[in-house]
Amino acid sequence: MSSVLENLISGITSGSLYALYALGIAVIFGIMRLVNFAHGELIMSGTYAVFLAAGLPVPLQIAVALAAPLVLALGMERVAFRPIRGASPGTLLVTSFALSFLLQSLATLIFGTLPKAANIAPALQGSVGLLGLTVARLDLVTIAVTLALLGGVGAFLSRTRFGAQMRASAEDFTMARLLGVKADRVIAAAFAISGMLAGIAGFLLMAQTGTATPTDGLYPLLFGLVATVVGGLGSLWGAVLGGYLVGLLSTLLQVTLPDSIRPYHDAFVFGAIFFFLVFRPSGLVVPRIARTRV
Amino acid sequence: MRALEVEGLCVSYGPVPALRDVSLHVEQGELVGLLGPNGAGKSTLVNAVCGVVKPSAGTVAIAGAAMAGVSCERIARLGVSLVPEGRHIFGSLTVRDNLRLGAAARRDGGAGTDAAIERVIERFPVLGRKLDGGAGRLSGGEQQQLAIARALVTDPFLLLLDEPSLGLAPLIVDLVFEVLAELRAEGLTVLLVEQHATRTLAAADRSYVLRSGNVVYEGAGDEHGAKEQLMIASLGEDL
Repeated sequence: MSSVLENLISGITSGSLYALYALGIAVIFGIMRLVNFAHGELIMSGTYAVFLAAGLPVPLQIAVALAAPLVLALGMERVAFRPIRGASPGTLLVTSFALSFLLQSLATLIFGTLPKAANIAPALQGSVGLLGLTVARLDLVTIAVTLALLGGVGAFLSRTRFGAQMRASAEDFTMARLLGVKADRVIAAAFAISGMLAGIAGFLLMAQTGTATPTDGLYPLLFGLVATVVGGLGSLWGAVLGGYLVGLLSTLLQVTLPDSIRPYHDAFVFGAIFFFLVFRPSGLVVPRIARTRV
Repeated sequence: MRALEVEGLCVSYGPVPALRDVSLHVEQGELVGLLGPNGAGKSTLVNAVCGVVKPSAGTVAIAGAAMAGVSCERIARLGVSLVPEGRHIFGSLTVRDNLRLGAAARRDGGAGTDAAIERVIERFPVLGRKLDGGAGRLSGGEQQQLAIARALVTDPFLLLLDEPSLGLAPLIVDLVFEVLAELRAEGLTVLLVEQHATRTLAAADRSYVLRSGNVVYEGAGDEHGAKEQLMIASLGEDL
């Protein structure tokens, strides 16, 4: 029984990270209908920021991990995406691909291809006893931080006037603009939220692996994207739900598959998602897609 | 000064022209009807006025100021408010949040929003009873009332309504036209796009008829002339 609960906590931890990845992607998609493939590089910038700030106290490490992706996200919106706003989805997609490749190449140029290791936040390492279970401290922190962040983003979106503007923009951007909602501000805020979520994800990832590499963003992007689609592309809470579902499924397969095929558990995850999407292509939460004729 | 002046407006969707050299105007305090069959270019015209569609030629002036290159949110903040065809209410938000969104366009910076919401609730009492409910759960008629109320919360200088009676029960259509008559009496400037010719001609100070992207009729109080043009526009020249 205790191992089941420990595995459940492990699944919720993975799901928390996937939810952070997915929400960062979904918040941009909801407003711009852009799948930002450079979101992985925002997370990667967070891991390198933590590596560079490794000698600083943990609160400062977190601040640096937040600031770097946030500034990078605002910069990519201003330099790369604002000039092509309103372009075809294909143009937006190729631009985000190009940006992803550019940032990854820049990281390789600056830091090299080898992993940069740093022992950050030693207090987060090790495990603690909790109700008779042995749980990794970092898992508890990951779950708590994610829930706090989701709660914070949720409160911001549901209780503030600007949050209502963002939700309205995600539902029907043209109509929101016709009511005077400023497009530049809403999109910049979406990128800021996306960057902040990437920063926290980068910090937690670095705390887990202890290394930063130029390809740090690939796996989070892939799983974040999958979780977003499973949850329902365009729905913020669907993305979170999708993240937790994919995390729990991944852990379930990891602990139940026979040893001989366990290394391929990701293939089973994607296979299951493939079949899920065949039967429910719109995902778990069907969003209200903005109509174009306004 | 004219509230709205459109001069020689041309809009195309790719190679397909939607508006061809359209000119019309709305004086301050007027209620002007814009009639025409499906595909005549009525919605394209209001979208061009709001800045959603970019014209290939011609000008749009609001209160004498040219709107070329001005974003749709800026035009909204100048006091132009649209009730779009299909309502476009935000179904995932509450009725109250939908109304509060109107604050963004108010020229007083949002200071008078709460009072404006109280006034629209007096006009549409059903919204007052469902303020904290999801807007997506409202009936079609209630959603149309919300769309009009939301536009009024912006404290518009010029109100554009695109087919507000489309798909509504007769009782709700009556309510919509009653509210329009009240707004006209209060001096609000309105451009009303409709297919409902008889009611629009009765409500409007002047009317235009659009056919295949061209203005084919302009007049006041000449119901027969407008209806004749509408008939031709709908059924063809050979009628």
